Amino acid sequence: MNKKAFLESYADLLGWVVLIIGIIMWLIIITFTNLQVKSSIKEKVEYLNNEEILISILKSEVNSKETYSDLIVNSYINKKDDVLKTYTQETLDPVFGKLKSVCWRIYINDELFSKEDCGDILSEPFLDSSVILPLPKYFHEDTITLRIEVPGFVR
Amino acid sequence: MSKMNMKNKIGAMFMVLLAAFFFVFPILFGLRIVLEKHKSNFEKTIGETQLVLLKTYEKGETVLYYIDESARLALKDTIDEIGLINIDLHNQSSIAEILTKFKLNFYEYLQKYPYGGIQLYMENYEFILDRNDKTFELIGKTDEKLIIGIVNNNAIVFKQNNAEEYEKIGYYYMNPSFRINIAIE
Repeated sequence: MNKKAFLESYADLLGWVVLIIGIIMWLIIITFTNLQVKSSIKEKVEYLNNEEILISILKSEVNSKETYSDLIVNSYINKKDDVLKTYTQETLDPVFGKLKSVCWRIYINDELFSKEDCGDILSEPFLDSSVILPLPKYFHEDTITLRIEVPGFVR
Repeated sequence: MSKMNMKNKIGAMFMVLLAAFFFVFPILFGLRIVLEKHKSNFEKTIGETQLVLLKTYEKGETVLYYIDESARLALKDTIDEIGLINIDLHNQSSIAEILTKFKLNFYEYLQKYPYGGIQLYMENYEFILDRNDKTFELIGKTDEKLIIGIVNNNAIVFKQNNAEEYEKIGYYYMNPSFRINIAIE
């Protein structure tokens, strides 16, 4: 092979290589540009638990000797909730139910202890808070986790 | 060097550079898209940290409420143990007896709190006891700080107990002083 023929075949080879690389490049670009990167803003709504409201309710006086938390603890110890039901309704209605009576549920250690049936449940409850309360020494349990939920209105 | 040789060399160099450019460019471009696709979302939403802070404040209030209630129960127990008739707040030894028993009862109630108990030192408290016809009033003053971790879950994490196990934004400091009233029956 003379020198001129060699140079021409070398140039042809380079031409093919560049052509192949060019085709691959375009294939890659077309493939990846189809995979569009999408970003979206995710909405996340969180609420405070309003434990302060619950604590204020628990501190309210039922009579000259008892607070509402005493009433709950005594009701739990004595396994009777009739007085608690009456007082709970009288306490929660002025706070949350200006026009209609509210419904409520009292859970102690995650078990339903007392309730007022609901007719109209709101998407977001008026109150859903919990606190830990100490129990008197003479009782066999040390503490209770009290949760009060006010999900809506009565029928 | 001949003119033809020179042209070939320049052409070859140009083609190599062009090929490298076209080869590297798509790879970088593709890599960028792949990385963008696999990039995780924002770790936190807007306002999440502020909400965690407010929730920690609420948790702190429940702890302080537990301390108040423990003090009330402890004082009731103390009065029951000593007997109302034997309590004389004009007598220093009577006050000392009440406070000694109260501290033991109070400490016992605090230890019963879940999450490892509330660790408060009774010797750091200054107690002021008062009485009128219908109520006993007890003020417990302290400069001690009760510290809870600002954590992104519902647990109450005391620095003194188990704070190292959790990932925290910081610590929230509370003053566990209290003022309680109990009715005399």
